[in-house]
Amino acid sequence: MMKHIVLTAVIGLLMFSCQRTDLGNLEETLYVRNNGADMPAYVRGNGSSNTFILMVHGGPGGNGLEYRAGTYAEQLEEQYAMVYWDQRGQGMSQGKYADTEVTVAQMADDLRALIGVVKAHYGEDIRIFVLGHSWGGMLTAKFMVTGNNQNLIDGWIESNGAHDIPKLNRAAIKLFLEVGQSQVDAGNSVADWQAILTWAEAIDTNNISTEEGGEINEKGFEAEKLLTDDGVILEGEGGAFSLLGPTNPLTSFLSGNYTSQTIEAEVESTSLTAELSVITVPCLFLWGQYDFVVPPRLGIDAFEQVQAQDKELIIFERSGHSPMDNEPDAYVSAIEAFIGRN
Amino acid sequence: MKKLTLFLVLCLWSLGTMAQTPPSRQLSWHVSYIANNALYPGINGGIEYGLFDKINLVTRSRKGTSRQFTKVHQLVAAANLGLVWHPRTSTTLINAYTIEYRKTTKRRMQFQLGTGPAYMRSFLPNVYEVAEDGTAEKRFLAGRGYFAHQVFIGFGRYRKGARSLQWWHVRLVENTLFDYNNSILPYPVLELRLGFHKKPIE
Repeated sequence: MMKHIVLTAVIGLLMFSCQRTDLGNLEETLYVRNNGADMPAYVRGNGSSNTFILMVHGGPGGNGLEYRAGTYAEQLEEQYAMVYWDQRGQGMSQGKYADTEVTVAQMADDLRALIGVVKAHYGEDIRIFVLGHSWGGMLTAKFMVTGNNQNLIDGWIESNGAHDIPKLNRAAIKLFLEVGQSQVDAGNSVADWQAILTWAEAIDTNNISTEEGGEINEKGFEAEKLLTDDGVILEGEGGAFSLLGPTNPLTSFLSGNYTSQTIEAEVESTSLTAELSVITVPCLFLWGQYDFVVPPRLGIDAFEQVQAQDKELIIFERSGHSPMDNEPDAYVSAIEAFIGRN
Repeated sequence: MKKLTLFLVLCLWSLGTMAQTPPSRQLSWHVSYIANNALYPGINGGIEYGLFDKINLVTRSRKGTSRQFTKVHQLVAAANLGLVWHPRTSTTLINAYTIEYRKTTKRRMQFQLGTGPAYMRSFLPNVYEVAEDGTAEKRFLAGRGYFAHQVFIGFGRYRKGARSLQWWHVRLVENTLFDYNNSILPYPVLELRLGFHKKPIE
């Protein structure tokens, strides 16, 4: 019995001895336990601002700390507390649950739980903004249109968010054809663009399969690379993955892949554009003009659908799927202005 | 007479070679450094017991002289308790019971292959459990337990006559965690294991 007590005490000391609670320079990990999952939320940055940005990562299959890279993250952390959350079954999230509990609705409920945890830990009076990128855009959109969830936050930032996959696929093909032709006319990477054009022309936009959806995603990154090489898109900053950080790359990769496969069919058929009209809290839509992975058409439609008094759409002219990497200063300025007026 | 002399010499040689093998049917103990994700630090400790051994006496003749040496095959049972830690993120206890085939060569190199059941328990900081009504309550020493299956492969060296450190092994340990999220999870660990025994083994 004594051994158990000593062991528990040692473990407790190890776990809690390094907690840093300096609000001006937060470096804490919170775990959200919700419906069978324990999900880490890495809180970094300036908590004394009383403003928390919940970063909802892409994927499905990504992780929160992937987004803690580059100058945009540094700049945001200087002013706000950033919460990098590993969603259910991704990153270092763990737990025990059935396949039936890996759904878009469940993950939106996990986001609601995360907000409850952040408020329980830092106080009910904090301001919370939710920033969803790519797949995180779908997840946050689902959160926003469910019940009274939107009243829990001060603003929604959707960046290149995939809230409507059927529409995304059609818009992507259109964008491939438009940009591809203009690049051929300009003499940029002509052979590569002609191959993309041939591929895009062969796709029936009225009947895009899941496999073709996967191809659109791959070709999107390929097209973005061509535009970067030709100087149309600014070189992205990105960031090196740290082996010393809390995220184990192998665990994150394996968990994320399995979760992605589990939820793929639902994601591919999810269309939330029409439901966005229930949203009345302030909204900011950030998109890269040359985002073939999630085309700006989705941002334009979302901007038109939401009923918020304060809504803004910013399209970054020299960015692709990750404007935070391509044009970090402008990206941060847009967020600062949005948070400043709300 | 010649045959009797040869027999006696072989018997004596056999006794000598047996004394040069790692201990069997005795308890020895080990400590090790274990690492997950490159530098997630961890420590492991445990005991082991030789269940069975088979000593092969090999004679090789070359240029008119003959040399004899031994190859030792052993089955070793071990119980281990380890801890992997990452600052501010998680602490994981790993408890494993393994059975291992270990071969010691004439140059005292050791190769090993083993398997066994394991149990892993994570301890997570700042866990808040969220109820259906949205209220979040902090849980003390919360975490998750997973049954696991462990396999490992390794190599090392047996140190003849050493008084303290008697062998070292490097192992790649693969734990497969069951019921991790909605699937399984491979959890590889790299281990540097040091073995000790009460008395030096000649």
